[in-house]
Amino acid sequence: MNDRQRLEKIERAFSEPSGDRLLDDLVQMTPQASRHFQHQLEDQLIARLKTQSMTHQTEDENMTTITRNFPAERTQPTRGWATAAALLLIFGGLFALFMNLNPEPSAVIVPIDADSATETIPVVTATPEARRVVVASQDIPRGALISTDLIAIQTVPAHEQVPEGAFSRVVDVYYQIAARDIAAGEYILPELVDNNVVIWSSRANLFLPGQISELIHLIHNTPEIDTFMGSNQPLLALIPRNSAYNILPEAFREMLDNNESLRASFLREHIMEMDVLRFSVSTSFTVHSIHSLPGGGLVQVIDCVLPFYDTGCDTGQPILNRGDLQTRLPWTDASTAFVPLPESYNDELALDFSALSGSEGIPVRLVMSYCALHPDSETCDESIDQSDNAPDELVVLSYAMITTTAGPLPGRPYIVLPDLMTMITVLWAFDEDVPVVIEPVEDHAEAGTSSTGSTPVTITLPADDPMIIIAPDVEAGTRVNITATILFVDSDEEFQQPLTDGDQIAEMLADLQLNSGIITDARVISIADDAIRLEVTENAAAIDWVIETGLPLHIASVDAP
Amino acid sequence: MQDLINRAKHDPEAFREVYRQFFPRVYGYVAGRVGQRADVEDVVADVFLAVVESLDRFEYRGTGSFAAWIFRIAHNRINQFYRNTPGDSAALDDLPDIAGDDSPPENALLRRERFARLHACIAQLSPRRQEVITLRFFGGLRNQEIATVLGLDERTVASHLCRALEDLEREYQQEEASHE
Repeated sequence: MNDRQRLEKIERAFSEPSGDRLLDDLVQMTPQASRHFQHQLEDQLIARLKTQSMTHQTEDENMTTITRNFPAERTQPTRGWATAAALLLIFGGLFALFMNLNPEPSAVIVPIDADSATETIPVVTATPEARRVVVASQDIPRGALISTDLIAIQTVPAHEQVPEGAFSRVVDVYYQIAARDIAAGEYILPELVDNNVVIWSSRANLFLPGQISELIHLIHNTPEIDTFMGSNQPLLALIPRNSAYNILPEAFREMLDNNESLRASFLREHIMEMDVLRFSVSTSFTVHSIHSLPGGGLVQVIDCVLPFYDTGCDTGQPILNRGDLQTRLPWTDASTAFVPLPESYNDELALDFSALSGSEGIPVRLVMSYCALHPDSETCDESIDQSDNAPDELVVLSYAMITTTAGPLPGRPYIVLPDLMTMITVLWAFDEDVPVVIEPVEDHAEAGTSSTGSTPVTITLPADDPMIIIAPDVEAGTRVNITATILFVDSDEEFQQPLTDGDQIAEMLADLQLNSGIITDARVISIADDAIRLEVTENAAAIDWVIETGLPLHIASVDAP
Repeated sequence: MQDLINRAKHDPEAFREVYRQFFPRVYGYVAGRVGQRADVEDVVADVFLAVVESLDRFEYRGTGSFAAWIFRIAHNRINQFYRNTPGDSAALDDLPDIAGDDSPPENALLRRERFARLHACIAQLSPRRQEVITLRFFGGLRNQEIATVLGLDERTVASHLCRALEDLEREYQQEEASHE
């Protein structure tokens, strides 16, 4: 039975028994909640909804609603109790406030439960005379990112002294960096926090201001990783789809300017293999990747890395390591190496492990961005002695854009098509009719299939041979719409069927055209005993990989002496 | 649906309707992934609390967008759950009820045993395929909606679905054989 028949069988099983025991069990044996639980939760939710509405109506300066967009991990599963407690506090607070039962409150610390951070923080003892201050609820070490579980709101009677400038709102302190050690109970003052830190990562700790790149690989089962950017830091983020998907949508919406909100939703709705997002941060934000599925997950935040596009950065050009790709892992246990590639195309690289003297028998784990590019591959986080990392299916037409910068044909506008499929029907539509030529990269010859305007053309892409579309009369940056019908390569050859959602692709391409600035793709072509060869198939600016070893690593061009 | 969801943001009765519409599916999906009834209830409660809290920010983007949104929340909460809780097999008594359990007790017991075996087989799949299977069969999502939830191409979902069923068939046959 091929896949199409199987899918049809599944569809039918939902309407009538299929006779297939497994399928019928899957369809019919649906877990079911107890009515008691369903009704109890329903009542609880309705009460919550009513409370929210009421809280919004009665909100004033003394009752600030603080909403967290990045909830921390839940450590206690009994959310119901937390909810009940919060509701009790809210109603109790309102009651006390309205009845004025406690005109002379003593200082009370209201912990900010990270788990209930989206809830209203009740300030039950606040009166017009009392002051609210933010205090450390526990010792906060220098350099720590101040999250809500580290601080609390304290209400202080008017007659008590509070240091000048002490913060009164959590939102002023939240996600700033502790400039020095802060003791539990200490008032949070402006001089104790610092938001002038370029990048923060829970994994890599503080990064130095001016550092131009950070690479965070999220491997399966790694804990959550936050990337913190200071205000007004221009940056580029390369976000493969799993990570992008897992980045909380609200984070994008919050951090992007209004005119880029569409882009944010695009990232949420149409994540492709790897995506590029450029934005200038108007306020501090946190990219909070909460999970990475096997094979997926890389958040790469690059500042000023791309030399060919106006990134708005003025910290200088990155070093491109032309012809000299030797590098060493920067830390014995940090395991991340960022290696920009030379501009040349189809460059083969090898990770030469000969430098790992004495390393025989030491397991080396390798995760490349390749894995993130193909997050469906479930072998990415396996050790490199896994013989085959090649994906068994390729599902997405990589996006394309016109550029005139370095590449196979410098100075000529071109679009690179991935060589990951054997056959592709391309329908392109420029803003105006222009002649285009399709040719293999290697030939660099203006020969092959050509078309004008919206004329569809079917070409057959030879295996392992990237193709480009040349549009000699189109200026770089021209908006391009391409729809494609793709015959995919599937390992068992049972699933070759056209992708029909051409409109979606066109939308993606058009959208990307406005925002993207880099196309990166790398493909493992062989894994030998002592080397992994990478072939760059597009105008890659960088291949990034993680070697989970502290041993020195030599990365060299295959042809290098 | 759009109107209902918009009203549900502030109108408890509209929210109740939305809840009743989605609760069984979300519960089914979570139960398919998590297993133990107490854990399932915690996660499901967490999901709907998150829905209440963030419903204001939801933007309707056409048919299926709300389902995708709510299941995305569920998907994330399940992942959180597994980060905090090591995987553990559930005893038969700890499993959620199964649809049709109001049949005679002996039949109900048999059904639960079969569900336990089914659940164990699903747990053997890769996480991605577990997701696809449970979203499709227990969550009742279509492939396109699953694709949105998981950030995948629809074709990839279809492919995972087929491969997962193949794997499941093998596992299921072995499980069944060992119990006969």
